[in-house]
Amino acid sequence: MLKLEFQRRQGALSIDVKLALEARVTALFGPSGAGKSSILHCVAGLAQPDSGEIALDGRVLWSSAAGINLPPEQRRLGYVFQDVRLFPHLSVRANLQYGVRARHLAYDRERESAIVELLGLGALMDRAPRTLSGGEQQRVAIGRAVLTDPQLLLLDEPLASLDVARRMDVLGYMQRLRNALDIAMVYVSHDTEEVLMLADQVVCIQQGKVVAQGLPATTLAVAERSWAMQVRREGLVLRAVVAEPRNATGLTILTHPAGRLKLPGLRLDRGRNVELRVQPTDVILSRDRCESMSVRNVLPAKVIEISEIGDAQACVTLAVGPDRLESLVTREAVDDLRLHIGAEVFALVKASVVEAAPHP
Amino acid sequence: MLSAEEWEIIRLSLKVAAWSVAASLPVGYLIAYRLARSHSIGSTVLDVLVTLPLVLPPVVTGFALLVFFGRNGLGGEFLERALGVTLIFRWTGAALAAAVMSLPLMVRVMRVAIASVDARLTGAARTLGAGPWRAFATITLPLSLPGIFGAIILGFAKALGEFGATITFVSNIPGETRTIPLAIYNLLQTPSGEAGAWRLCIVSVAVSVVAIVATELLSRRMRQPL
Repeated sequence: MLKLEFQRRQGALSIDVKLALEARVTALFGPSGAGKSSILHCVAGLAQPDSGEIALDGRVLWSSAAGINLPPEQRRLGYVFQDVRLFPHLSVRANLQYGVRARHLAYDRERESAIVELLGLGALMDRAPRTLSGGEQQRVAIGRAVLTDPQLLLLDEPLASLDVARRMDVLGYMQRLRNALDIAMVYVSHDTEEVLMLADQVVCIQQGKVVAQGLPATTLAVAERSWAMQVRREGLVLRAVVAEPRNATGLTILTHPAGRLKLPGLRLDRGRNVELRVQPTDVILSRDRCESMSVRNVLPAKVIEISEIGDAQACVTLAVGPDRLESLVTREAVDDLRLHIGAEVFALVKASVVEAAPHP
Repeated sequence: MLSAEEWEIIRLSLKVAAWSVAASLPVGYLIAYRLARSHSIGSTVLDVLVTLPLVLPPVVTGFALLVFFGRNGLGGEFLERALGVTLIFRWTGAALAAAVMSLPLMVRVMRVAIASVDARLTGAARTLGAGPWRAFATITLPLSLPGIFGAIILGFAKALGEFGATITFVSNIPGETRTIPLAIYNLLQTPSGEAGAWRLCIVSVAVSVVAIVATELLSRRMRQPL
């Protein structure tokens, strides 16, 4: 099991992860620049976190508290680089055997030929790396890492530099490898298809943080929706109509099919259509109407979906009249409020944070 | 064709050049490695120091050597006492002068070669279980070999031709410090020495041509695939 709990600042990105990876193939999934590769570099010892700890099967690889920093060669990890990095002055055979020699492992001819066979490298053994195609080079690089008998194989977007046809080709070889060998892998990718084909578990990384983890299919769905929101910086939309323009208390009253809303700071005429964008973090759920709370906008709603985000949170999708809202809550709250699909709740929308855009 | 005295001059020149290269190669490689991989202020200072003999008048470099490695110089006194080595007016001093003068050229050639070795390959070697030394010996060193050979040949040729710093530092002593260029200079100063000067000039040209051809052949061989 790979345990990560560390922080690292690099430029504008601040990486802060806490993970325990137990699956045989874990995918670190996220957009470019999310810090996935940096996390892998820290695990391999090619970069150092600022603080925290990294441990593999109980063996501490790096720890700021204990002052431990194993050099890369002592971590017993295999690393497959996005940019391949075969040794240009060595033949394919010598590249494959480099790690076996460097680690002073007993030369295991059977194992070597099994891996050579598995990756289809038999005909390439005496060639120079520069004479190989991109896909062949990456297969050699995978074989080179696997042959060192690593405790964990780290793959950093190994298919990213390949065209589509070669990508599918190498992906096929990687599936064979995964099925034939008993090596745990951490696979970095921003490609949904790759992740679905290879991974047993997915961890979604966004701006250096873990935003979701779990089984591939469901996690990817949640993650992609959460990015879509992040990228467009918009929540879901409530469509309402101005019922009473700004009154003496400075509030504008809107009507929505599910109820009345009061908003400050709007200067719109009676009868105008308004789109209110509401972020999931600004929607609070309650089992009753909460007359005694400061929040003025309470709409009856019905739970239509609950998806888990990370290990403590959940995203609850609500039907509010004809519209949809999402609420980000803790899993504990889901249990305490006995939330389930079909449950009747009240959505408390913080009026001050509602963004309104006039709607024609 | 050549007199015993001329053969002696050639033999001395080759000895001085060989020792010069032997001394400047390891030092030069270390400096070149540092300059190729680090761009700190220290590296810039080092770069300037190493390059100085290339741009200064050789006489100035020779004078600096004289001041530092002369009998009363800091370095000279230390070498004399600690190792019993005298440089001034000896062939060893000629080798040192040649080494200092050829160092900038050798560093330049090796620095380019080391910089062209992708540093990320070392990272890959480390993840495969190689320690820093092994990664250097199996990746960086072999991949920078063409630069090393180029530096050896260039440095050797430069050392054979070194004149200004040598004559300033160790003077022009027959059998001790009189290398080919110093001998040619000496012959041109003597009446009826012109024929001898010609013969040594031809030797110089021959040695240079061999060096250039050897460099070319070597670099072609290095460029061939495995």
